[in-house]
Amino acid sequence: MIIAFLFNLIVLVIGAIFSILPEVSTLPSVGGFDIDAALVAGIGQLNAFFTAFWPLSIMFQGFLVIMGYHALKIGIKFLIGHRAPGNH
Amino acid sequence: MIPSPIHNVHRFFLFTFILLCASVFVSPAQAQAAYTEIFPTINADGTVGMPPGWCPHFSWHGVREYTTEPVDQASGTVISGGTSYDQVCYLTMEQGNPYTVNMDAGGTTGTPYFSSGGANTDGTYWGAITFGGSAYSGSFADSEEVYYWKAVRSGGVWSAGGGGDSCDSGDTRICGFTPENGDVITGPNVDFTLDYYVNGEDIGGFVDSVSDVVVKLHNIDQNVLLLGFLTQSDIVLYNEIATTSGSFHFATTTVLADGNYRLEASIKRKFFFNWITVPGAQLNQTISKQFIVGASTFIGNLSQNGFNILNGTLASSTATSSIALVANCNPLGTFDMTNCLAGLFIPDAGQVQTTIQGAKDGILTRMPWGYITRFMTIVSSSATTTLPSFTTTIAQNDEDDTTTLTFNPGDMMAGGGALLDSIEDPYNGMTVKDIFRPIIQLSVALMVILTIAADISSSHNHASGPADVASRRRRT
Repeated sequence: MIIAFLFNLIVLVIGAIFSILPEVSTLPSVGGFDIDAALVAGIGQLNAFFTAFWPLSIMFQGFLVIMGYHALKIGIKFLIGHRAPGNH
Repeated sequence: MIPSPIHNVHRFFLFTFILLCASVFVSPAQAQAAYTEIFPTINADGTVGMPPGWCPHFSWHGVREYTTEPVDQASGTVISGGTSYDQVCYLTMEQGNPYTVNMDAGGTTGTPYFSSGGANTDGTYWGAITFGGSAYSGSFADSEEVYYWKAVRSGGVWSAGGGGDSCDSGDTRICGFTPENGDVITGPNVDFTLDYYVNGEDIGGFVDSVSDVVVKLHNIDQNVLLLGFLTQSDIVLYNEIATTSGSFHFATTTVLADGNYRLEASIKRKFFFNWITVPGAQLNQTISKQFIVGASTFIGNLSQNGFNILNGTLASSTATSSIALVANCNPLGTFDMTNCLAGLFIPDAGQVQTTIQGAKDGILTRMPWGYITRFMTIVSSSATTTLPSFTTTIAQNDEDDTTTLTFNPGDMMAGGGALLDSIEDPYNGMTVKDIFRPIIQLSVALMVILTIAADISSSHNHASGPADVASRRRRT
């Protein structure tokens, strides 16, 4: 009960601080283009594609791993700047 | 030149990353049958002989027919809840081919017979086999789980079909596994069973997410030394990638030395080649149990008793929440120090869930990171959208003579996938998918590793680095 209270208190305080920020329920529309609807439909179609034809899903997973690697590099560079690997 | 510490750190980090990728990609998948295969024999008198224990859930699940009004299959009378009645195993049978089945279940031979039948949703038919005799009777509430094990007869040979509805109610995925918590087993042969359920929604998604079911066996004696991650004591008994929904059963026997053991069963939703667990997925469940084989050890008992005492304390209380447990702190009431402390310091699952949900709602949905949360919600969804079709009309000789062509990419891809799944090698029974999927996975994994390795190698090319720039400045 005490531990739960402390956790809830932390969440409550942080939530109260961030409550001044607007809540996001959908991605924004830019110039009349509904990014949220487009992404939902696009991911749904990708799901349909990859569920129907499994070789595509394997290739897409490989693509995601490479993208994850690059995202990791960007994150490291953001955190430690010029000391990041590849920035000699 | 002495390399800077950060230089070594990044090398270690990247090397570890490559090793992790390699270990994930090249680890062989352990193909396991989703069901326990049973192959009954046709006796000389035309009856079907079933192997002992063919109904594996008999003793544990209380296999029986479930109706709102339980029916004693032997007498045909309706029984009120809580009264003993016969338990049944279900056997799928072809319509019009009733067989008398003789079986030995649970070590006691009963007198089973087909007592009823009906149609399954997949078009096959089932018959209920009733065990006579009090050895199979028991008391059950109406909410008892239902489980049936079906076999399909084809060409005189019976083979396993699939499980029934064992634990597909609610969010429970791991129905149970044995040995039970606190069991003391003579050994050295230890029987393990696992029953779990995979929902249709658990499978699929654009990253081919599947339910990875893993049962690990930890030896407490070694892991308690805080070096568990370095010891080789973990034994993976079962590692199955679920690609179809339904109930699954796994059973095996392993020889174990005397000691204290912890058994962990987990079912998780994964992606990235089953490497990363999708955080927050409702499917993710882990259950631990501890047992003793032969003689226990001092260190093992210390660890195991702490676990069991805590569980025993919470299980012995009638309180259903930590708030209710705190009622034991009242010195004028039923004061209980153990339950009082447990209620004060151990949050129950409901409180933890409330906190996590509060964090999700109150923090993660706020701008700007709320966009990332929304993006991840969309991306991790397994919902499918029908692919658009393209139709075109082509004029022939005159305007009245036209041909309409429709291109449906969904059908085309589904047809291609179904073709790969259906073409079967007649010699080993493997489909094109079974044969080529590992090859494609290996090819893609190698390309990914080579791409990342090439990028890492190029990052060590200092031709345009600070030293080179400095030397060029000196030259100019």
